Amino acid sequence: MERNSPRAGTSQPTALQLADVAYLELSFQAVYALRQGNVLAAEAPRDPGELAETARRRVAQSKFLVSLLIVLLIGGSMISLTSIVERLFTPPLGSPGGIPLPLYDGTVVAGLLLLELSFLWMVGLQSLPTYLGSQMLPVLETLPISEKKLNRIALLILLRLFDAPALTALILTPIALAIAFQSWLTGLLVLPGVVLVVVFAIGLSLRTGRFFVQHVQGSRGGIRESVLRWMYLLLWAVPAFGIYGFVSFGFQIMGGLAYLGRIAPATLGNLLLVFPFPLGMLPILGLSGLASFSHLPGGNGPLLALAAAGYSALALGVGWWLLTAPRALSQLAPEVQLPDERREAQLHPVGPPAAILLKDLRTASRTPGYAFVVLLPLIDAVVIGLSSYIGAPHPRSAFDLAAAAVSTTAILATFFGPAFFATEVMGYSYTRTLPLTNRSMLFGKSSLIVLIYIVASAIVVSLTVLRLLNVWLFAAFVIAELPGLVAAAFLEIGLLFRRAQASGVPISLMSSGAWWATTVVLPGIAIAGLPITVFAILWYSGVSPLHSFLWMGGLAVVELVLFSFFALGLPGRGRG
Amino acid sequence: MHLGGRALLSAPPAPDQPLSLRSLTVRYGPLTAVDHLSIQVQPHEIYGLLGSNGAGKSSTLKAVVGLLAPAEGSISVLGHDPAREPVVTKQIVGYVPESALLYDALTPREFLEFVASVRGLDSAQVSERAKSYVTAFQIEREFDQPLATLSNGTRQKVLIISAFLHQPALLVLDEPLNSLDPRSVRLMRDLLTQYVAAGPRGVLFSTHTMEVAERLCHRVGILDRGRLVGEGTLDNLRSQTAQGDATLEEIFLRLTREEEGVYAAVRALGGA
Repeated sequence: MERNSPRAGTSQPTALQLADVAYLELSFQAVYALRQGNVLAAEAPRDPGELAETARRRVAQSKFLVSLLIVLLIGGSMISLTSIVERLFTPPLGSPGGIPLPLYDGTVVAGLLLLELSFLWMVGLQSLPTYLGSQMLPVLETLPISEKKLNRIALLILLRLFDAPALTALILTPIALAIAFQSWLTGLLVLPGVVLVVVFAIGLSLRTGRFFVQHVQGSRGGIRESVLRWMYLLLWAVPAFGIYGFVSFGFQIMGGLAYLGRIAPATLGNLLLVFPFPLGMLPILGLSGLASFSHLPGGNGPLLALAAAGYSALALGVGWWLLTAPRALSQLAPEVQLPDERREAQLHPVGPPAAILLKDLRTASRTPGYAFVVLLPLIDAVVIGLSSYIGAPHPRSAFDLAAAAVSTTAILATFFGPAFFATEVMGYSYTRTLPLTNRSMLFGKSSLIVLIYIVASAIVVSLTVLRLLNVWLFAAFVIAELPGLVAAAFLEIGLLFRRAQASGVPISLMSSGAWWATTVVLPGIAIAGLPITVFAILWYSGVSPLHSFLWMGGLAVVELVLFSFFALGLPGRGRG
Repeated sequence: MHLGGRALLSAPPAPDQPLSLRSLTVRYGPLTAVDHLSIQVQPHEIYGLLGSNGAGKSSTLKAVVGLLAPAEGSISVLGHDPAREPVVTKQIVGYVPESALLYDALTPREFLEFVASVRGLDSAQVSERAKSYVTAFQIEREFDQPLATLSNGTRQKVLIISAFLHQPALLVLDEPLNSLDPRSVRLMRDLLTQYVAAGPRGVLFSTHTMEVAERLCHRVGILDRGRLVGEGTLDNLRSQTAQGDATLEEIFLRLTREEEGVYAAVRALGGA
């Protein structure tokens, strides 16, 4: 044995120490994306320590913001558990339309668990490309480190991506429920549910990430393949839909459960066995004991306890799988099938703004993080459109719902402006050597936002107009808002451009750029939302539809003119 | 030694000259990567920029294509200043970067379509051209496969094709042969020779492989710590260093004063 063998002399760093170094590199790549082609701006600090510190800080800021959203979800649930709201849903027993109090409370807790699961899953999906793209584990694989330690390092890195939001959920949920129910035992009994939620969310993130690497990342070009890819990517919108659906339709869900309890208590009893109901019911057990279940239509305490134990066993299995899955994922290669036939190298160039739009859509179709931001407003439109089609009792309320759908779409489309800009990071340095004008880039990026808005509006129209609405009334609303939306897009892209020219491309993913994205998005939302707000005030004050639309459209046009000057007056004719 | 005389600086660059750098200086904070570099690439010429790692080759090339702003000096591409006319200049330059960092989610077809669109190229013409290069570099089977799944060599071939698509007046190639297989290296060499012979175009080519430079370049410039320490044809350099039958590698080591350092390092490692 040689004198200077790796094991002799100094001891090897621990898995935690190695994971810490790897996580720093991951943060660095998430913020600066140098490995993806981004170049440091001349003004950026050159001291590696300072760069690393900035990366650490920005990732921490983003985690803080993400955790804040969990705090909001928990806060919302606390409000739902106040006696005033409880009384709204739970009239005296026996009266129609009411829902038994234990079922109501259990559903709110289960709903909160579902929201946390969806949210953490979404965080995982957004962070996964960063985890895979950092290429940290392949580097460590070449070093003399044991398999066990490599597995542990991979898991630790992955856990670091979830740490702040997961800890927020784990700590604040029991505290919030203890306060809401004024019982520490109740607070404590929700903890198993939150632990399971964290384990399942990480497991689901990895499982869907695996699916992405195998079936999406290596998918070939072509129309059939593109359609298939977009269908796969709908999966990425599922957790967001979980959050959105529960927040938007909480009232209807409660009503549905109450109705089910009256007409089919046995079915409701079976439904309550579905995750996360049994774990949501557990704190209620702590509140009033087994007796509370006698008030549940179809409720069966022992069966619920058995289901909770079953889910806990499943979580143990997932936890066991998680010990090796993160490393396995980093080693996974996309499925590549080179065809035997050779396709013609026919190219179909388009105009520069359209080229930007097409590139972004193609990139989004193979990048879940971006696909998610394109799909979410569209799914939102489908959901609200459907609900207005099915549930709206008269044309006026159908119009309100449809207008709400379009408004939400406008806001959501604006919300993701920075994310569309962030796609430029990939291959950015190369693109900067192309003769692309700032205006082409501005129009290309803004047209993606407008396209989402128009497609979503078309979905709402097709679902509601034919049945309930005056098509011209609705079209007037969509058209009147359009200049406001373009103005918001111009403002956001203009801000991002100026920032890119001053200090490099801002990466606006949830894992690294949430802070910066928020500072850009808030004014954008204000600009897109102002015409809608003015319209709503006038419409509900009894002003005629024509005048309401004129005010809304006029204001939107003024915004567009103002922000066109801002965006089109970008310094330099080319890209810096 | 610091080449690039004052006479060069006083005359305006000829409008048909593919590239003229005058006293170009690139800085990264306190570090000067390129120090008052003055070189010209003539029509029909392949100019090789040689240097050790960190000598300033890539920084020079990045400044020419507009990725880095010069701290001092000027750049002229066919009479156009990239700082003042970035879009016009980029229209007439084709660039192959050192690392094949591209839009990984796109396929070669999608990437080339994007480049052709931004360059405003005609569909029929660019398709014909792309077909020839794709066949020559033998990437037909990979043409609809995402770049993320392709080898470095194939990605490099895609970049090379994208640089040739618009038949630019100036090709700027940063270590373009690094990941290529021997067949593609040979193909690339012949392609470049043919390319400059067919029109008044120029090629600025960076490499630290002396053999490639010796076979391919009409003239070379040797950079050492950002400064030009030797320039000319192989024969010019031999006479500059008074080494009658020296190879380019020997001339390079002499001009960069690394010859003795290499011997010393080998001796030290041999005794380790």
